[in-house]
Amino acid sequence: MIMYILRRIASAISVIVVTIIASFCLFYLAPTDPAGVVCGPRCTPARYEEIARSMHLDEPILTQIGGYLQGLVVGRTYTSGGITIECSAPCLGYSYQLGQPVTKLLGNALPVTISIVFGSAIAYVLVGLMAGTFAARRRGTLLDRGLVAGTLTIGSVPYFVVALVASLYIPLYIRIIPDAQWTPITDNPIKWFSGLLLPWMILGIVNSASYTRYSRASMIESLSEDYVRTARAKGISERRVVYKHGMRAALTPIATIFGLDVAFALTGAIFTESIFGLPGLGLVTLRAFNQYDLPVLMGGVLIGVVVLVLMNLLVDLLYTVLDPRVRLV
Amino acid sequence: MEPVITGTETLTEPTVGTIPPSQGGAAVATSKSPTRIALQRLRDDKVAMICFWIFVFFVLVAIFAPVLAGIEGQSPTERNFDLIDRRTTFPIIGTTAEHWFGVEPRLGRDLFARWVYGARPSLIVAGSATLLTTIIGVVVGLVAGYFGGWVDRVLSWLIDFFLSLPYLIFAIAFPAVIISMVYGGNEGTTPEQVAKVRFISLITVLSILGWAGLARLIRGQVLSLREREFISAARVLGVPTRRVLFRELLPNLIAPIVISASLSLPGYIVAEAGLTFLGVGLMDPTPSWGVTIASAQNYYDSYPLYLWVPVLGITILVLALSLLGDAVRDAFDPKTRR
Amino acid sequence: MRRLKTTVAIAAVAAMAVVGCSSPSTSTNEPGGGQGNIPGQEKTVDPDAKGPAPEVQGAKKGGTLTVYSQSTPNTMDPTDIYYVDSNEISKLMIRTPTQLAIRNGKAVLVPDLTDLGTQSADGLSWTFKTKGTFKYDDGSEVKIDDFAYAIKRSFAHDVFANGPTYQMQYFKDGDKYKGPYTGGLDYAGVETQGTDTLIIHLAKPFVDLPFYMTFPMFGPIPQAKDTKDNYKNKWLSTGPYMLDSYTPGTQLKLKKNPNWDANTDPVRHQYVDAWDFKWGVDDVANQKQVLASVGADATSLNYGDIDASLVPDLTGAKKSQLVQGDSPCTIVLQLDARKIPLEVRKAIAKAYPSDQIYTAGGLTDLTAEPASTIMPPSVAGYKKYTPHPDLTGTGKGDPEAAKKMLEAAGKLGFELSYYYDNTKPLPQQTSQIRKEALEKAGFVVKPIGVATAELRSKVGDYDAPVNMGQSPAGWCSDWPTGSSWFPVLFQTHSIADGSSWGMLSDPALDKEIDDVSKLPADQAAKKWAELDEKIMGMYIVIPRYYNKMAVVVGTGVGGAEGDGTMGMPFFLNMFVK
Repeated sequence: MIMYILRRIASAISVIVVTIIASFCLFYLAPTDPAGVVCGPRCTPARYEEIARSMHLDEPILTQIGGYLQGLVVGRTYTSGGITIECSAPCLGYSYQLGQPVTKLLGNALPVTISIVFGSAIAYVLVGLMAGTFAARRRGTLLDRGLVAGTLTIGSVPYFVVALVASLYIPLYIRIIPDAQWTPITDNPIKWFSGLLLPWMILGIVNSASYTRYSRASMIESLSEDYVRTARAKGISERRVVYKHGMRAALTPIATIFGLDVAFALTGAIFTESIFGLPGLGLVTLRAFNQYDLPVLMGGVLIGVVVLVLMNLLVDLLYTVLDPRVRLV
Repeated sequence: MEPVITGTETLTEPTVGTIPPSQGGAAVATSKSPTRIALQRLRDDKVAMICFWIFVFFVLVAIFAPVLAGIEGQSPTERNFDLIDRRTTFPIIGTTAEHWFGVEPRLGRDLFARWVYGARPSLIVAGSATLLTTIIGVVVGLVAGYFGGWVDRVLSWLIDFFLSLPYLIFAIAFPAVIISMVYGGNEGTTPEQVAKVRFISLITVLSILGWAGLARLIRGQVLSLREREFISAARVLGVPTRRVLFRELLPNLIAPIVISASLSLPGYIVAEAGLTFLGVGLMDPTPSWGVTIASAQNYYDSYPLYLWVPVLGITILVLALSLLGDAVRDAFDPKTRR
Repeated sequence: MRRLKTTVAIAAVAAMAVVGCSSPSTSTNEPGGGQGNIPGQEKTVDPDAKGPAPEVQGAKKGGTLTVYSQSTPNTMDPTDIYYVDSNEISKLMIRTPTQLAIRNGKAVLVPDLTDLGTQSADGLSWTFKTKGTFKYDDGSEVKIDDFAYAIKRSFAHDVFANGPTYQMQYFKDGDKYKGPYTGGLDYAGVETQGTDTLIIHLAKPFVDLPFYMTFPMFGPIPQAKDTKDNYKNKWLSTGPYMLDSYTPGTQLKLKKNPNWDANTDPVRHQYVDAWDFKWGVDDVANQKQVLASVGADATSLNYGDIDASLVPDLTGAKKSQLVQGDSPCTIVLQLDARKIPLEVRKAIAKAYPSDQIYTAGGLTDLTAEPASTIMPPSVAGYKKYTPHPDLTGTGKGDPEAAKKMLEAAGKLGFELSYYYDNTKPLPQQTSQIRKEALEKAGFVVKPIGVATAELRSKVGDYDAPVNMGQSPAGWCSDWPTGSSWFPVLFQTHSIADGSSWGMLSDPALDKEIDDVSKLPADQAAKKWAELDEKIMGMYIVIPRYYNKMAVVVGTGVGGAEGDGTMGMPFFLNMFVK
């Protein structure tokens, strides 16, 4: 067990390190001119030199990578226009275009993405469970079949299309739902909640499809088990039967897909963020792409990889806890 | 949230109890290969057939786009400024006999022509990406699973690595780098060149990030197949490795391969449209549906047709392919039949 | 001065074209909008204006106003500010020696921290006296040395590369002094006397200096608190609002400055409690929300020009949510006179598809009006002379006639090249239209596509291998006279400064411009108009349009009007209804 964990951690770290190096090389070897971009139109050679030096662009590539890694672990300093800027660990670089350390930028963006993902995760699991139970109990009826067909349709339609159309039309017709906007939970919890309600709703419905199907299937399966029949025979109320016994069985497969989904969604929330204008990780990275802000772009890539790797690790480990049948090879 | 790109649904062993065709295996007249059985099941599934024909319809639309546009008499790139109200940039006409779906605001290009031509990038990109990821995934999976040892360890590490990459973030970062690497500098590039580079970089990115899932799947399958008697028999008989791989193992992997491909195709179509919508994939003047959706979203209340035509196009295509993919999976893998 | 920043501006500018003529029903009450009706922004001064500023009718105290925009200001360092957005926003926080008040839609120069200045007899120095004592937001006093220091700071052009550069030409030793960081504090161009007198020594007469002093770079900065490169993240305020929190490129929150004394300020008000600037939003989606004015959106506004797709929505009650105003800018396409001979330039103008580019750029007559002169109507001395042939800002282009002109000049197949942004659809589409039209006229056209981030430096490089479309692609009056246009754009030094239209370097023209600059205001106006017509006749630019401000505000926003000197909404009079 310990060996497995250690091996997984080692593998995770190796992935992260390789990603850093690879993306570093890619970004900085690409024939662009980050110093020139920052320097601006009326760039004197002197100022260009100074900027290039402060971005450490005049150093050999290995030193640059070393400096970057060092910044991650211990922190480093940048000079800009005669001022030294302390960039404490973990230092993901410095965005000259925005005049801010990348860590701070992404640090502000991360809570947005996390709020979106976890909030919507709760939404779609709940919706899925409820809908699946609902359907399972009315198995075979028109409602059940309609629900199944509906989830199949919604789940197969391109997500961003549904999100886009919903984001446009729902505020138009159902005016009680407030516009989507971001307020940090520390500023105003109520506004935080109301601003995220619309995206949570839409994500909840769209992503619940597979959860509905899974919970319906396993609910049907478990509801026909002997022990459930016994429970019913014993006179236990239908509701207790369903909720206590049926749902518990439904939870295991849901737990598995859930872990993977969230890992995936953390980096995939960009569509939601873009359509609703929520300044999360994906949107910040997208803007960095548009403005060719290399440090932010790289920082975004790094965080994305780290998050995904960590979540995968977590899911793997949890899986071994949940399902002892999994062989730890 | 993005749909899963490559088939990661759990698959079981290849259909039980049949002898691979290569062994000849006492071909009793009535026994059919598992592939044939699956295809028969598919053909019997009404919903699947409808979806299949919808897919064929879109493919035909894509192939015959120039013909269709010709029938209407418009081109997707010609700008009709005379049909635009100069004061508001809105078109002064709706759907007419010359413009079956109307024209777009600002530039006045014909929307029907752009729609039929728009089927092409989606299908070409998705098709190429599916093909590439399938080929790479299968080869890597076969080699890793069959040879084992350090080959397997290296390849497995690679698979894990690529599976750990956050797809969207890389899909954003990659084209920036590729485009500037290929066309950096002062020479500048024509819009056609830019379009081509974006096309290729999009396919590249999707393929790089997509093959790993299938590879892992195939590797798992091969690992279990490897121990079967017919493989050891072939080894003992001295059959060269290449034959074992391609004549013995591969036919047994048809099911997972087909399932994976049919599930990834709609995923890639959505990926292309989505990335293009974000501004990271293809770009004007390529008439991709993602491009049209991106420009049309602001006109959803004042000019709904502009938005709904590409939305419906992509929705129906993806829906049909997804249902078809589900049906294919059901047909090839009886354990998941409901 | 420069208009809005980067992508939006460049895309917009590169794509934009002519405005259709007379404005129809969609434009609401035009405070002078409509063709040729933009009122001359007469140079009005009021040397006796005193605080407090006159109350705005219906104004109430309290509330927070949220201001959105897609384009982000490039800097908030007062010395580095030259774009109109940061300039207008800084008026909330930075008080300057003189300032422009908006009265009845017209801009009037009034004393702010100092008087309007006295010119010496030889015109080579100006004396300004402070009007009272003032405090920074941290409670410390504003000293006369701080004014001098701020001016000296503006010479450090390597650190503050974006700021205006008039001081380098006009102020004594302006070409030699390199700022307090490298050149020390000894500078002959600025002198202080006592505790309230600031004297500026000039190298040549600068009649409009008091107007220049409204720029944020003249706001006092204490040397002890100058954090150089970091000042743009945290600056001192003297105005009614001070920095609350600032995330560059994303958000700026302002709160009331308790150390601002309304009785000393003839321009500003402190009606709202707080300002919240949010940048980087999607303009179109946001403008829709502002128009809908649901919930918090009622007390918000968006200062990007209204998108064409929203114009049909401006009906009924929503019409009053559109705020229109003047903008002191002319947008043009430049031709490099060093590389393109006159006959060829005339042919380009003949072939230019102005109407198509205008429509393709998404322009409406709410936001743009066809231009045929250099100076826009809001500048004193603007004269609507008969446009030169093909320089009307409208027209579909005549490729056949242009081809004949080229053949007559023996220049068929002349090669044209320019930069454009090939990562955004709008500029790319515009470039395509331009290319096709010019090719039909017999030119060989080589557009060079570059990425957005590199575009600004490429179009600013006058040694680049292109011969049209370089920056500045438009110009806005820094103050409403010709002296903020012609000496900046058309003299030989303009090339070195990076702000030349047409790359002219004619010593005779230089002298002519210098001569007019020395004239007193009323005589100068007529001469500027003559120069305008003359230079336009050199076909060095293809005029496109004069900007007009057209923004949407929420239903809860009161006191919104345009600042015609910037083309931005005037924040200082706004309140929450």
